Amino acid sequence: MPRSRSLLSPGVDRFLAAVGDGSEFVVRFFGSFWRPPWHVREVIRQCFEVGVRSLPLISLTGFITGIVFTKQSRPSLAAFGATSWLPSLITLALVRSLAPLVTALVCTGRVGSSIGAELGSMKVTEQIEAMEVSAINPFKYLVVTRTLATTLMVPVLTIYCCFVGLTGSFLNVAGNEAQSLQAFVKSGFAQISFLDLWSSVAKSFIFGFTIGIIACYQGFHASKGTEGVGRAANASVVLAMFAVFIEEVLIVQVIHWLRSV
Amino acid sequence: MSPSPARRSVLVGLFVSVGAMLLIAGVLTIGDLNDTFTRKITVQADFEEVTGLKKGDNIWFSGMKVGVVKRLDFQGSAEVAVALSIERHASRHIPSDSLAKIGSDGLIGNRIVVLYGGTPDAEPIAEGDRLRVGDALGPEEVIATLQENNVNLVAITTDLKGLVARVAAGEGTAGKLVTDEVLYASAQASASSLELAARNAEKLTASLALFTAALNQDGNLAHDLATDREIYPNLTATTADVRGLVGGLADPDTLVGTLARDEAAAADLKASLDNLNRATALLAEDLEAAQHNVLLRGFFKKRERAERKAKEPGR
Repeated sequence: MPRSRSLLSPGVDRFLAAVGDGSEFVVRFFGSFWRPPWHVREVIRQCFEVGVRSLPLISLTGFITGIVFTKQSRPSLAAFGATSWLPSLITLALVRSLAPLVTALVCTGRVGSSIGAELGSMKVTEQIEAMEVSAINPFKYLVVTRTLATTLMVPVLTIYCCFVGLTGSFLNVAGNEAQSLQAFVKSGFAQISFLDLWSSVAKSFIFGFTIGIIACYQGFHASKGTEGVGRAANASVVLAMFAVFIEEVLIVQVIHWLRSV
Repeated sequence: MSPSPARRSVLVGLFVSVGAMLLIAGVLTIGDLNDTFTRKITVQADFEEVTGLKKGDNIWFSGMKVGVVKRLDFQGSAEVAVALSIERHASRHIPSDSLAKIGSDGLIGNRIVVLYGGTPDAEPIAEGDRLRVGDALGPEEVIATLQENNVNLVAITTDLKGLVARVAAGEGTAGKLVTDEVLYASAQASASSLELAARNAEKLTASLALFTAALNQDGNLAHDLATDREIYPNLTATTADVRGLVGGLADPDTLVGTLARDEAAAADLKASLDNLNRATALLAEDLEAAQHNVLLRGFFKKRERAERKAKEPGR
């Protein structure tokens, strides 16, 4: 079969083809999502894998983030004699940005690579084709369930991350400034609005969906044997992280616009 | 080892439930702190300059947060209408003639609207009221004042510099005082004279102290005058007597008053006294003549002898 001539350049063509395939993959997800069967048991299993099993790692990361961010912020505020603003600063940073971002990145590393490798392995070992033969829609069973699980679990993990991060920050503030928990909560949440909270949760839904869909796409399109599995896992992490950062920038702009309206 | 499907479902449910509860706790905390569920009224204040005030900034009354800025809109070309959302329970304590000004939550803090003033007798603010705007001293005004102070300080420093230069050059009284040797010697002499005068004054004071001590001794007139308790009442009584006597002189019914006031009576009395003097002189002549009378001469000689005898008891 003769090689077709590239439209622009081989690299650009590959990129555009990936964008087109990815878009088609997303459209296919939303097309399949509404139709039964919903594979509830599999969704719960994936929620368990994505959510519950990620909780220790998220808790540890969130706790350390809270403590480190508090410790790093203190000298700057102390220069103005404004260490009493630490709770407010930390809460704002955690709720608005740090918690969703840290959770998304940790989930990208842990869950995205896992899904990419799992589906990639199934792809190269032709298990997906076997499922099609056995009258099971592999897209519905593998992609929709996993993407749904990451979409639902990342926001919950974000809330946990925020809570644990604030706990770590409070312990540090209480140790250094002898501030009470009540004063910490009042001071911290005084500057937080519902827009901050809901935008953070909404952002986490988008991050979760992005991680799931990219990992599933990379795994679903793995090739070249075991090497392809590694590539799928790696690409899942790299692309998902990249997408999360791009989304973060865009969402922040939208939230700022909403705040000014 | 992977848990059973049933156990897995429970764990996922627990995980999601706890996450949802944390979210609800956050919502309630924010709602409580931001008074989302509190009933509010909206009043308006029109500012010429809002200096960075934005929607959601706090409103303070007597140092307490009573609401938030709800909306900012341009009103014409010179004013900004600021809608203030104030908690209903706090609005009962805010007089309707209160003033609104834009302040700052600390030196580098957020902008706030401060409600102040108002009379206790005024009605509390109500929905739709329009508050008057007071003068606010923002950071810009403070910096402008400081800048003016700096300019003044530079002027003062310049003047001081010129003054010190003139003093150093020996100009003016202060300059001469600092640099002129003759003036210095004169000042030193004046100081010596002053010292001498001070010594003399010290001696004078000591003498006065001794004199005062002497005056204060018992039996001294000044001491008696100062300490005696009888002289003053006596003087008072004497003064009263003299006042009575003078009153008598003024009274025409008394003999003295008549003599003092009635000139005819005084002339009669004078004539009577003259007559009496003449009669007395004539009587003295008559008595002298009587001593040489034969009938009375023996009596007078007898008395002379008795008197001589009394004067010369040794004889």
